[in-house]
Amino acid sequence: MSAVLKGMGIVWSEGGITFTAGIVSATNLSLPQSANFSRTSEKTDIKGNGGTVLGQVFHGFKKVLSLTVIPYHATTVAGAIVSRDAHVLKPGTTITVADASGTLMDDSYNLLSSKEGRTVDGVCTVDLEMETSDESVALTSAVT
Amino acid sequence: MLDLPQKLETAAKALIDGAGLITVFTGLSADEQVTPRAIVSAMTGREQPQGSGNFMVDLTVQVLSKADDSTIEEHRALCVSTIGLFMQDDVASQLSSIVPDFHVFGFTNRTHREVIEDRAWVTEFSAEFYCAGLVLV
Repeated sequence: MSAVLKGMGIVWSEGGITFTAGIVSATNLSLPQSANFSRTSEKTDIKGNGGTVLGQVFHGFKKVLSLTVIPYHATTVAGAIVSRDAHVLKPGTTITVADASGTLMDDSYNLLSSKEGRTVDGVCTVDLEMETSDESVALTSAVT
Repeated sequence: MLDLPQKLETAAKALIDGAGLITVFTGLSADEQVTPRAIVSAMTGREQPQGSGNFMVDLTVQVLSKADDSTIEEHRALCVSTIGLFMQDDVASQLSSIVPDFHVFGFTNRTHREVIEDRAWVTEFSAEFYCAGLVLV
């Protein structure tokens, strides 16, 4: 029995990513353009005498988030500039992310880099690279 | 589903009809054409991703007023009240709720064009709407 394809539920667009600390979206608005989220870890191979891999130990679990946003202000260009500058933060800043379409991404991240991009004929964008621990230990406390 | 463009046309027509400001026709309507009028047409679409049944459907909304009967200012005000409905931030959910077994995820590539053709003001809005032929919550 054949079935007619009527469509299916998919996740459309970026899903509503906002910042609640570090950058605060409520006062420094931005339009998320793209998000890449990954869960990574280091890996150590356990080898036997013949060099055969007998097992693998995974450790150092992390969530890694890359975001590209367009900073803006509802009514003024000056406000958009303030918002742009508020997004280009120093590495090490703790940024709290909230995702309206799920909970996996929700967390406080260490900012690894922020990159402002301007072109002669386009809108200003800000790329943010962040990571945090994917374990119960928070990574966002400063290492002393 | 091959009826997705018609569902989008029906939903878009109903959205404009709701304003009660202009007679709305759909793309291949045989009804007598009056002015001012809006023509809503969705003729083409592309399945995305392949094998899903979801389509990116091209929608065009054209508003036409006779230049002999109205000023450009009146025509533009009419466009704000009709085409402007597609600039609402919740237009996807509004369109989804109008037609049974229909869901609009969102839209992209909005364009706008205004010309004068045969002594008529013509303003055209188009966008690609990402649609599915079932109710999704």
